[in-house]
Amino acid sequence: MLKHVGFWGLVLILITSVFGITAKNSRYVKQYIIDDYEYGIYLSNDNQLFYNISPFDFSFYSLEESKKLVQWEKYIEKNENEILEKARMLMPTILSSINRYNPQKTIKTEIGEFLLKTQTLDNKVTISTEIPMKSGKIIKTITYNESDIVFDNDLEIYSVNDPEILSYFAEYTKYSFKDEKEDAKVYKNRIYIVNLNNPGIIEIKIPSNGASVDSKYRVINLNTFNNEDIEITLHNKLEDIK
Amino acid sequence: MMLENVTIILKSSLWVIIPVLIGGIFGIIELFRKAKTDEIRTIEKLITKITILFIRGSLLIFLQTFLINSLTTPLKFLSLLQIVIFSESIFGLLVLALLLIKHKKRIRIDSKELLGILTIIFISIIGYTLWSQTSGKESVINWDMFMHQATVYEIAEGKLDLNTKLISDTYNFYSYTPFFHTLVLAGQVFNIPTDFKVTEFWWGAQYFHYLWTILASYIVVKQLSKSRTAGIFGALLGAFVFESIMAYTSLVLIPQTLVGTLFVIMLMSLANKENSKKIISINELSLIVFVTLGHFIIGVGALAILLFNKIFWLLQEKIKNEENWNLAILIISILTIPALYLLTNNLNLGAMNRGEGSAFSLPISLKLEYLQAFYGYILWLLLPIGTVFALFSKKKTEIIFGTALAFFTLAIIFTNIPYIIKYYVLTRYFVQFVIAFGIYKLVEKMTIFHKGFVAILLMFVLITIFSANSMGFKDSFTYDQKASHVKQEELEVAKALTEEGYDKDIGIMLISDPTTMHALEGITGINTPGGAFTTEKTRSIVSKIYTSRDTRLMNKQLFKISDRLEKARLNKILLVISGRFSNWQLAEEEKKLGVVFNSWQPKDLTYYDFEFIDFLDRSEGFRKIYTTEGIIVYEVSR
Repeated sequence: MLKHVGFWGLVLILITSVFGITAKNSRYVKQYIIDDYEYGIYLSNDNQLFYNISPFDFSFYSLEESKKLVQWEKYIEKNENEILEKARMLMPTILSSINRYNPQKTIKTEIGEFLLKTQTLDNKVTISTEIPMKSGKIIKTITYNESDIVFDNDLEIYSVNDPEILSYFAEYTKYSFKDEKEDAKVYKNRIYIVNLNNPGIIEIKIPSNGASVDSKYRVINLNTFNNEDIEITLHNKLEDIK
Repeated sequence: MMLENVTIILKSSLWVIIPVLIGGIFGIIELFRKAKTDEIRTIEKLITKITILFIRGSLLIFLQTFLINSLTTPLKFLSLLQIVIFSESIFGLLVLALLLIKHKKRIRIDSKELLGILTIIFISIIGYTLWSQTSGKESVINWDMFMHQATVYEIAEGKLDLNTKLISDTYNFYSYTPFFHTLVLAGQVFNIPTDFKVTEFWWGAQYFHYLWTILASYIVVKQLSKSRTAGIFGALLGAFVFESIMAYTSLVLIPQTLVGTLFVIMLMSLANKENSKKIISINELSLIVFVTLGHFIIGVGALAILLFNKIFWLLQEKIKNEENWNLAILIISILTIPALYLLTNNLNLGAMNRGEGSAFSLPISLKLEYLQAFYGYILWLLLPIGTVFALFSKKKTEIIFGTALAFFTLAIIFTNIPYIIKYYVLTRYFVQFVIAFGIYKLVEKMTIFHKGFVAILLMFVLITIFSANSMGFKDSFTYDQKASHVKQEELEVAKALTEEGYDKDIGIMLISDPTTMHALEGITGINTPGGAFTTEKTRSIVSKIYTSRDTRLMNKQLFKISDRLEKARLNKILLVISGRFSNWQLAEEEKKLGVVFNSWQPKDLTYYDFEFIDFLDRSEGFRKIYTTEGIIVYEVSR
C-alpha cells in the first residue's frame, strides 16, 4: 500500500513540477517573432514596434460604411484556470524551443469564438481565421506604425509620416518613389512595410479583391472573400525583394 | 547533414582524445609494475580511469607548452608543439594498447553496465539534438568562447604567460591560468580554426563536455546511492537541467564547467574511509593542481570540498555514535544556508571586478527564480523528500556525505558574493544526487515497469522544463531563427579577412563596438583593443567618431586607441560598421562607457546607418575593403 502511495505521489510531484516553468509560445521567422497577445496575433522584430492582426479590427466589406465584425464590448475576458492554461501550453513550449510551433489565438466574444492560426513555411507566414459567422466579404487588417513607410511593388507610397524620411529612404534605395497617393486603394499585388530604425521588411500579398491603406488609423485593409488567408512574407533586407 | 555533424563532432573530439592519449604515457610505470591493478567492471571505474588520464595528460600539456615556449622562438613554437604532441599521442596510444592487452582480463563490463552506458549516450544525443535545433554548428552560445579562442590564437603565436591578463587584454579579471587554453590548443594544434571552423569546433567539443557532465551526474548518484537505477535518474537530471545563467555547467565548455565536472568524478573515487587514511594520493595531488590551475574560484571551492571529504571520512573512522554524528552533520549543513546568507547579506561586495560585479550580485529572490527556471518545481518538491530519505536511510554514510555537500554548497550560492552562481557547477551534482535519491527511494520497491514509467515521465517533464529554460536563455540573442552571438555574415567577414592575411599583420587593429570587436577577435585572431572589455578611453573614442563628420579628426582619434599588451606600431585600422555598432552607438553615453551593456544579439544595419556609411565612403583614408548588406569594413591608414 505504502509503496503505491509513494509511486503515485511521485507521479503527481513530477507532473506538478512542470508548472514551475515560464511557458513561451512563439516562433522566429527571419528577424521577426510571431506571438499571440490578448486580442490576436502580432509580429515584431525588436519588441518595440508591433504589427497586430486582431478580429476586433476586422469588418464586413460594404460600399457604404463598413461594419466591424465584433465590437470591443463583446469581448469576454479569458477566465481559464491557470493550471489548465499551463497544461495546454506544455507541448507548444517544447515546439517553440525548437522553433516548430505555429502560434494561434482563440478570442472569446459574446457572439462566438474567433480563432487565428498561423502556418509558417520558410519565411512565408499564412494567417487563417475561423469566425463564428457566415464568411462573405470580410476586411482583414494588419496594423502598422507611425514611423513606417508603406509602399507597393510599383513604388506607390501609401503612408509616410515624414517626407524627409522618404527622401532619405529613396536616396538610399535609389528608388524613384511616386508621391503619396490620395486614393488609398492598392492596385498592385504586393505591399511592403519598412521602418528606417529597424532592419527587416514585411511583404503582404494583396487578395484578389484588392486592399486599401488607412493612413489615419495606420491599418492595411485586405478585402478577403470566403475567409481568405492573410499571406505575409518576411525578409531581412531590402535586397531580398529587389 | 547528419554525416557532416558526426564528422565535425569526431574532429572536435581531439580536445579530449589528445590529453587522454598523452596521459597514457604515465601508464608506462604500470606496464612494468607487477602489482595487480583494479578491475574495471563498471561505468564509473571506466570513466574515472579516462578522467585520470585526461587530467594527467592536460597537466603535462600545460607544462610542456610553457617549456617549449621558453626554449624556442615564437615562429618555431607551433611547429615544435605539433611535433611533440603528435609524438606523445602516438607513444601514449602504444602504452595504452599494451596496457589493454596486459589487463584485458581485468576489464569486464557486463551487459547491464553496457546498457547503462548506451542509455547515457542515448540521453545525451536526445539532449544535444534538441539543443542544437536552434543553436547548431554555426552558433556560439556563450560569449566567453570568443575570449578563449582569442587566447588560443595568442598562445599559438608564442605569447604565453601564467597570467592570462598578460596574454590577452580581453581579460578583465585574473581568475584562471591559461591551463584551459593550452588544452584547447592541443586539440586544435594540427589545424587551428578560424571563421566557420571555430563555431564548428566548439559545437562539436561541447558535445563531449555535455556527455561528460551527464556521466558525472550518473557517477555521483550511483556511487553515493549504490544504485544503477538512481544513477539513471541522476543522468536524466544531468542532461536536462541546464543552469542558463552564469554557471552553464552542462552545455558550455569553459574553464569553470570543465573543472567542476572532472572534479566531482574524481571526488567520487576519493570519497571513502580508505582514502582518508592516506595523507595524499597521486590522484589527489594531480586533482589539486588541475583544479587550481583550471579556475581559481572554482578551484578554491573544490579544494574546500576535498578538505571536507578528508575530514568527513576520517571522523567516520574515529567516532563511535555514527548515527548521531551523521544527523548533526546534516543539520549543520542545512543551517549553514541561513547562517551564511545573514553573514554576507550586509557586506557590499559589488565593487569587486572593476564594478562589473555589482551587476551580478543577485538578490536571493532572483536566485530562487533562476533555480525554478532550471528545475521547474522539482527542486522545491524533491529536495526535501530526498533529504528526509537520506536521514532515514540505513546505509547512511555516503548518502549523508552527498546530502550534506548539497546543502553546504547551496549555502555558498545564497551568499551575497558577485558571480557566486558560477559555483553551482559544483553544487549541481550534489543537489541532483539528493533529488535522484528521493525519486529512487519512492520507486525502490516497485516493479521494473513502474521504474521505467517514472524514468520516461521524468524525462518528459525534464525535457519540457529544459525547453522553456533554454528558450528563455536563447531568446536574447536569437537572430534569423538561430540562437548565436555571431551571425553567418560575420563568419563570412572573418573568412574574408583571414584569407587576406589581416590576422598575420601585427600592425593592424580591428575597431568597432565592444561586442563586434570581441566576436571578430575570437573568430579571426585579428587584434582588438580589449574586445568587450575594452577601456573607457577606447569606448569614448568609438562613441565620438559616430557623430563626427570630420575625417581628419576621426582618423587622429582612431589612431589614439592603443592596445594594453600589443605595443607594435599601429599602421592600419580595420573599422567595422555593423548593426551592432549602431545599436551600441544609440545607447546612452553612460551605458556605452561601462562594461555591462553590450549588444550580444547580432543585428543588421538599419537604413539610417547608411548616412554614416555614405560619409565614410566619401572620406579620404577610409578604404572600403569588404561590404555586404549587413557589415562594412574599412581599412583606415594613418
